[in-house]
Amino acid sequence: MEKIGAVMIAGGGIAGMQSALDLADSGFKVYLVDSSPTIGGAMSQLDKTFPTNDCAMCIMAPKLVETGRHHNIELLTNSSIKDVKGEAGNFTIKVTKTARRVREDKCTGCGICTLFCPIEVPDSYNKGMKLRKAIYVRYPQAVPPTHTIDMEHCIGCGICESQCKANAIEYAQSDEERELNVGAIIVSPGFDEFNLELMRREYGFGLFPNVISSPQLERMLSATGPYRGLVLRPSDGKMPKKVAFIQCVGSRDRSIGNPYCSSVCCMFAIKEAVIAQEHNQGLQAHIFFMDMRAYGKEFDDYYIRAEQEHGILFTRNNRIADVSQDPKTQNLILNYIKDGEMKSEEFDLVVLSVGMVFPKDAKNLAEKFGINLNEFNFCDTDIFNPTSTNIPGIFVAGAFEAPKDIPGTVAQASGAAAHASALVSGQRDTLVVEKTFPEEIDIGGQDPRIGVFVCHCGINIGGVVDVPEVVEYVKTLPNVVYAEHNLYTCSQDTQEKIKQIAQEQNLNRVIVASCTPRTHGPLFQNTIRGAGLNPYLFEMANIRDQCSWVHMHEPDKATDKAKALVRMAVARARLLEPLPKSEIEISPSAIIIGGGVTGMNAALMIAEEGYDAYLIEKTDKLGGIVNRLHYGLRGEDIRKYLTELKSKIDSNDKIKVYLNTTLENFSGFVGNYEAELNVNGNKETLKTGVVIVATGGKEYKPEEYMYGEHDRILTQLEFGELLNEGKVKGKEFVMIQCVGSREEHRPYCSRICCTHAIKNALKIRELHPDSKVYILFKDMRTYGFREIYYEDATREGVLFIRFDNETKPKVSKDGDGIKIEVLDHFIQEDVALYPDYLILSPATLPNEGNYDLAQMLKVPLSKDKFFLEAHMKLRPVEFATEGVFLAGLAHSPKFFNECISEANAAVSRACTVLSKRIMEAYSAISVVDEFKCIGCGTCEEICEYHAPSLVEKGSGKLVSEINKALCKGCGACAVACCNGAITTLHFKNDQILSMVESAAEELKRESSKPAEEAQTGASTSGAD
Amino acid sequence: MATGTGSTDKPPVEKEQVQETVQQPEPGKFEPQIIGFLCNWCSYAGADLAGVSRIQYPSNLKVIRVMCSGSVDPILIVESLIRGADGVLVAGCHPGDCHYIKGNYYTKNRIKILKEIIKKTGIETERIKLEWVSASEGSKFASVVKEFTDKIRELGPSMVAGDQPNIDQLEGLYVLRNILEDFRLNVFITRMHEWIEDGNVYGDKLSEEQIMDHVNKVVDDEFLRTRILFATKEKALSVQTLSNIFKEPQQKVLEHLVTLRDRDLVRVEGTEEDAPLYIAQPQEGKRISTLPRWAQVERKSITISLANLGDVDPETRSYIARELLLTLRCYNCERRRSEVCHFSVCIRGLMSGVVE
Repeated sequence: MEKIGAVMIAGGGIAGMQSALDLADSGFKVYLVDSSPTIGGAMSQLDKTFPTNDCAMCIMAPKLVETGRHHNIELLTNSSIKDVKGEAGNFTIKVTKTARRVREDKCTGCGICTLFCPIEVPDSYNKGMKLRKAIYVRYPQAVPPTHTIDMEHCIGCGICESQCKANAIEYAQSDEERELNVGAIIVSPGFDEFNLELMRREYGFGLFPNVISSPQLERMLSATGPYRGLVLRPSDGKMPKKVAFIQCVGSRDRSIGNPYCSSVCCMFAIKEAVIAQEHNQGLQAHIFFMDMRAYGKEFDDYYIRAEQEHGILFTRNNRIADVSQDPKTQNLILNYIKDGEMKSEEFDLVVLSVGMVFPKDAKNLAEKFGINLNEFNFCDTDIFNPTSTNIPGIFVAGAFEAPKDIPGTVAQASGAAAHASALVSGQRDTLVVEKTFPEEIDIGGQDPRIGVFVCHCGINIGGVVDVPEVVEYVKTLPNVVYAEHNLYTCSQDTQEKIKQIAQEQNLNRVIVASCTPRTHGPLFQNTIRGAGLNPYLFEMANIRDQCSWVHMHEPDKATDKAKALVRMAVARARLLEPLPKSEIEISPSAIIIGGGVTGMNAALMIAEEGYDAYLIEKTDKLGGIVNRLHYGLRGEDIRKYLTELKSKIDSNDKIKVYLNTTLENFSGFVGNYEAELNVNGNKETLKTGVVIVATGGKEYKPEEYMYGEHDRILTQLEFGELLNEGKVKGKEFVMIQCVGSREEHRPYCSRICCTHAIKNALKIRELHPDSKVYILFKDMRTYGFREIYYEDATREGVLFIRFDNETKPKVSKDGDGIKIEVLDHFIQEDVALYPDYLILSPATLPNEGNYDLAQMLKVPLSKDKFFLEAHMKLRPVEFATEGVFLAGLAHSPKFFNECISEANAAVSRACTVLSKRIMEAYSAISVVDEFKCIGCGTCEEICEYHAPSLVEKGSGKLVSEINKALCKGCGACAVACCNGAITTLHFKNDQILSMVESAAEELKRESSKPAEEAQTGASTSGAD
Repeated sequence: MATGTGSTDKPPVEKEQVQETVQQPEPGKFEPQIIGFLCNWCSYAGADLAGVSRIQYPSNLKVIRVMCSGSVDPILIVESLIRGADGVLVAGCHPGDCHYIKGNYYTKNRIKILKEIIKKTGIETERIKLEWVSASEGSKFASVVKEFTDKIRELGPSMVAGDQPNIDQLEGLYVLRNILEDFRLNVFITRMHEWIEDGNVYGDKLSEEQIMDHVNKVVDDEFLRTRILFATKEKALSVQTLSNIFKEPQQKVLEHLVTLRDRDLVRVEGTEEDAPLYIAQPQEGKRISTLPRWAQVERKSITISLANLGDVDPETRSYIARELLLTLRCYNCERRRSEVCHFSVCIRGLMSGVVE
């Protein structure tokens, strides 16, 4: 069957969006199907993200807009999958698009309908704490902005139709059937919250008004939430002083059927506690938990800061059994154990950290696609193929695979995209639309001829601002040769009109005065490109979002401001210059540094995508640290996997392996990197388009607990090898966790050691059923489905003894044997153990070579000396430097399956570069005036993208040169330049000053008006 | 001065020009002019959200979108004040959220220093405001605008805005603008953060006070030097005269004259009672950028010079001075105000400039 160069993605959360963007940018057509009327998923409801406290909407909105506007992504919202046929490479899918009763091609998202809709219903986006109308959009930044009639509540009054000037309302609209033909499918429906009603008896959710869920608190904390960022008690609207967080509600609880850990709630609660304390002065947050699962990159630092700097109270070893309410005050009473004593305490507000469960749609999807679910109805995968379902050609990403945080989700989404595109890589660029534009008109030497289009936006602008008056005013401005007003400037017919007028009137600048350039700028830029104008000759005046909508009760002032804004736009437009497109040739190959499992997977995937891969390994064999692993947590045969992987690499002629090789020198920029290698002492030079850093980490050699002083004191890896060889003999085993991790000088958690210990403990019990195993630990961090094995271990009789940094176990020699003394917190007694083996779980360390490599590649390291990605949440596998990616342990400690996900994710991101033979560089960049540059190097130092570099010119003078391919046009260097030698194109000081000057003209015009207007009898604004 | 008032229709000023631009403010009706520089990724989005949420705020703010708050040159802020803004708002992503990683850190330092040095001109530092507004803080944006507008209303019109600018302050701003282009100050502003956080080339961490000491010295020095240049633009003056004008010790004035001479900005021209007289060097050929021809707004060509204005009342004089400052090109070096010029000493030149 012929393969199809298109992919369908089910679920438009952050995972679906990431997969869609990766694929669409790599030359594939994407159908993004979401059952909700908008994309954005759960992340759109977040206020902040841990551990950086980034504003979720700030980082997500650009992705939303990009997904919504991408010409190779088709959004199918409000849609559900009805039927799937076919096989990998060629699927036929039937999708039903439920009627919104608002036409997507006509609705501009102006929101006038919601203002007049008489029906108010609880807003699920705000967790029922706010009301919305029966015609609505889920959240203000939603993509698509098309409104939806909520048929459950609409009473059919017909008012919205009468208000909608765009004629978008269509009451008779019916459901639409679509048939999609795609080569691969990615399933990313996300997760659902655990139904707290099931815990009504224990915690009184729904019964006691002041017991809320963590997502409810999140909405309270959000500036767009019901209380505009304040935390208030739902019962009386008072600011709570004492807030308790109860962890693991709906997680780690077999009695309710969810024995797994939801992975994110610990950090989520800390974040909410920190932000709540910031927003409400004097609020005291108290978190009750069992184990603090701060296992991710710099999570522990965040935890420590929360406790020490923010003064958040943490009480461990507590699963709160129940909550009772004081009926008078509606305060809540919690009983808990601290320091061995039972305590009772009253709180103003209780937050339940609700767990993640499978998405509602899981069973339907499983049935339609034929994919297997695990016992908890999440998608079943194995560690070697973390993004593959049991059906070839159908891949999975995000929380549907297992509960996970945003970076894990984004990495998986890219990983799944890599699999999908590799499957149909032969069909790249076959179904995508290339936009073609007429040749650009040379406007050199022409006087500015400006055309201004002022939008009524129905009554959104026209209802407040006197649009015809603005148009008349605009006509009097210098260089304006044409001005008109439109009902909707963004409508398709107006686009054609603008094109036509631009040609008729020989316009060489176009201004649209309407909404915001953030969402609509690119649309109009494309329109004028259609008229043969350079897109940078377009300027926009925001007279809706920042004028008519915010001065609704002052129409005169709003009209004046609109005039000023258009005048400023005209002033700037006069100075706008066409910016040339610059193109970068891309060499279609990748260098992968590091030949461990991460690097091998990346190389293989690059080859499958159809590009050349150079795999560089410094030792004499591939496999890295995995050479020392034998079996996985579920008994997977890692040896066999590695052998197969090696033979796949050997037999692939697109992959060239360099053993005993190090990187000596590195230069160039995206698409054109040059690497000097030292291959067994010989120099070799490679040219490549992108680089993937997969250098891995290493095991810490413990200096504590008498390691090296006794032949039966081993690390987990050493012990694992011994165990596999069947050489272990004994009856008692002790494991000590966090050896070298979570210490003052190395505060991070090594993430994998808890599970590693459990794995070995279970193996010991399997091989020696009568043995005793003790695990001494700080927190057990078996997140996700690994929790099941922790549970198994306790059932198997493995004894867990908690210690902390103050009460570390003491190890000494007892004759030939080993003696360990440790304080048990429950019985408050020292316990002495005499094991046959002491197994240490050492930290995972960054490689020593990281520093040099980072210097060479000009990429940053984190404070713990791992590589630091471009953005902790949304860009986990790439650096800020374009064309340089990372994956695996080089980023931070992580599991086998996570490394493989990331390897594929890095390839997927790399393909967005490699798939373009020629890449268009951003044009509005900074440029250097060679004569003014004094070569001080300030720009080189402050640029986060390493775009400027000092080069020697003919005269021997050092001059800064900005690499067009690297510059993002942020303008930092232009301001910092000691000698005013740098200018940022399109945002030149001249251009901005012309706006300033034009804004200041207002004084003169305003006050000269009363005299004129007194005669005409028009309403005055200057007279106010 | 508007035609209605009729008091200033002196021959050199063409009537139409005056009609179009001159007016008297209505007493008690102060509507502040506020310029806002908002970063594209957070604050501009926050302002849009205020709109989507229909949160009302005063209409005094005129927004200019920039890609990053880090690209807001302090010169733009000073120029905004020169051009009559009563307040300038800069808003960017919260620390740590910058789309370009670290742009807003630089902004923070720059505004801090700018506020520090703008004190020397006598302009209220409250007229400049830096705020962090995220894309989800529509209501915060609205309240920032409201509070800032109220604050400016309370401060009253800027002394350099309006019809009768305070020439001292205006000159101060011009001097400041020139200083901001100065190489030395830029070095401090840009590297300050790095010196405090990571240390200098020797690995020594500098304290903020240490750096501010340097900054203050640079500003004080350059302030005086630029004013000396202005004073000696047309007439050669002695150390003593300059010392009297600026109320600074003669030794200090001399020191600065030596520096200025080294920079080839002043020369000695004659002596008076054994004291050499210093005059500013005309800075020809220093012109760096020109506007493209089509960008120059056509205006009726008139020539005026403050020097030959003759007797006019001080009000008019200061008004005309301001108009000239704002709209004219220097007859000396043909610079327009918005053009970047190095060590520009044009204030006198502009005052007797040519209108195209």
